[in-house]
Amino acid sequence: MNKKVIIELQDIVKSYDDEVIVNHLNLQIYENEFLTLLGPSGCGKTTTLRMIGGFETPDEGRIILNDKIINDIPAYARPINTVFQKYALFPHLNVLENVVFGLKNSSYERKVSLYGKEKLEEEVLRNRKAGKKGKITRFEMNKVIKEKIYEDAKKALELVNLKGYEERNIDQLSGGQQQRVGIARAIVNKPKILLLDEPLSALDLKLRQNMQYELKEMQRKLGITFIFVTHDQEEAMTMSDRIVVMQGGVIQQLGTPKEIYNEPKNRFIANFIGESNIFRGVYVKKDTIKFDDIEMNCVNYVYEDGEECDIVIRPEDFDIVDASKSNLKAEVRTCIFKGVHYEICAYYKEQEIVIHSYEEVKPGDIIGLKVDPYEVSLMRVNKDE
Amino acid sequence: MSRYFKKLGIPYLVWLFLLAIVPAIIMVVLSFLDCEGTDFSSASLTLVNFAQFGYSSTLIAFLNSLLYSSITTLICAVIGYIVAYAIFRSHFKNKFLILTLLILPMWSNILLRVNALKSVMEPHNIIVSLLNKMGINILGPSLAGTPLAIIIGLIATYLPFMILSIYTALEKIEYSLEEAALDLGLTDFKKFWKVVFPLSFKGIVTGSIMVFLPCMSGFAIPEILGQGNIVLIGNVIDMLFRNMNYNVGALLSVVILALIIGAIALVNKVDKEGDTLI
Repeated sequence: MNKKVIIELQDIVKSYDDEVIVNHLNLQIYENEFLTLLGPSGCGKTTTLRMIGGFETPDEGRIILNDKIINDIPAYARPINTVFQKYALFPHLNVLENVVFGLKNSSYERKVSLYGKEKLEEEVLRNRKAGKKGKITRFEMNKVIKEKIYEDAKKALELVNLKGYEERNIDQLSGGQQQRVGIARAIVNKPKILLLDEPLSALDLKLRQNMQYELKEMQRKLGITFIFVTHDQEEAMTMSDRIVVMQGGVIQQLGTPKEIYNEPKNRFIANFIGESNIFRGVYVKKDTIKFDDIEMNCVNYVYEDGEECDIVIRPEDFDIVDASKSNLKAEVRTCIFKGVHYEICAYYKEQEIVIHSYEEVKPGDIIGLKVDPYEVSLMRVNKDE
Repeated sequence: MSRYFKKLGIPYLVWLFLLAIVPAIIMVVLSFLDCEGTDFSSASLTLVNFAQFGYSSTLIAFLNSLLYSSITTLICAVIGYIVAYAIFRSHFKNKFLILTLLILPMWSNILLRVNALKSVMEPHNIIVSLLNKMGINILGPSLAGTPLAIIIGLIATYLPFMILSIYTALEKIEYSLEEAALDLGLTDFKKFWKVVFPLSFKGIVTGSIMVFLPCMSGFAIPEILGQGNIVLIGNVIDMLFRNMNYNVGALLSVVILALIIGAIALVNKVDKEGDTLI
């Protein structure tokens, strides 16, 4: 795993009116990765994204892009583009003009360096009528550049499955189509990093799921870094290479979706990412834990013998067995059909346990519960909580 | 729309019919008649009123109106945009208050305001006499009666309409669009010309209509500030009605009405989305 860091946030602090939104944040983001900032609203994820995009300046700390500090570089000079939550398409331009907008309005120098001077000059000479000689004029160059820009824009629209929509007005498009235009408008500029600020939150469920796969596919094809902001944990799981879970302006956990789901670091993450049952227990000795006199097995955790710990078990990891075959007996309160599975709410003494099962049980039944050792995860008890 | 709301519209329809459509029809009828005032007993159908268009005085007045209205609209658009944009970009908490202050003069009667303006444009005016009292002896410019006086009067009177409609258009522009422009690599200067200005252009169109129309048909301002030296079409119509020549007066009014409606129709056609205020 020898990945190159493309952008680094060092000790970033940002506050509004004495309220700290982002609190000493450190984060390294690699080339070509799909990174998601995940957290409840007000956790600082959007502010972090806006600082990377250049719409906010951090109060403290440094943002380093390719070894250069970019804190004071304005948004328009950063090789970063954004897909906005509410699309932010220009209503006075049609689809194609929206997509070419960035390239068309960039400086002549940037356009030339983007397409390569030699290549452009070659093309100018090829397009010239036979016999015409003389220096290549800026007018001729601009003509070739313009053709290339429109060509690129059409390709970008094809990539987001909007071929044939070039001449449409923005208000003739559905929400999903508008968001695709927003994506095309951003990627056509060939940014080093693409920022996505909850781009799917306004779409309906089915469309959202489709767009999730498409975005992931697009990121793979384009090979650029995507930084995605969402409060939807499922969305984050589906697309990300790595997830940053934030709360209160602080990174709670950073890891792959699997790591975060299977080994949540604290109660907040265990509750925020999917459903979990959390039991306060004791780490008895290696591979053995105890919860209220019930001994269970776990693997791969090394704590001190006798240390208090939180035991996290996901609802789908419980197996329901005959009450006589397990020490953990619980009384069923409710059993609700959820489509794929039943959601069972049962009580062991005062402790509520949520279980997902394919088989129906009846309220009042006493059931036995079993868990495979590798599905038990442990968290150290945070003394502050 | 529900039937209930349709019923609510009835008073307005009656109002529109009695005070706008019926008078307009009467005017059209009058312009094809030859009669004394509104005394229809001796009326006869005729086209003789159209001879008025042959008089050079009518044509000059008409061209004057076009010229003064156009110049006023143009200057109002430039000043109005600058003022509206400055307010829009300012960090005042209560921008509404600033706008109210701008409209404040409109709360007093227009004749009063124009007459006050005229007295300031005389060589001996209130400011000069105050300065004289303080020992500074100068004479004010004698502007009254010049074309400049009329233009200043028209601008002072109708500029608030332009500022308001441009400000409204600017306010409607979502900030995220400006962010998107910056994000796509546009400098502030380019952002203004490529995003803000095109999106607020409708405000200029609306404001222009609201300035141009009263300039075109008004007669008080040129009469008071022009002191009879410059005659606009509004003054001609005013004169005709005063001389009980309702037929020719009505004809000229109808022609201007037709021109104005034509202009609005043209604007509506150009503005496809149709969400200028009119």
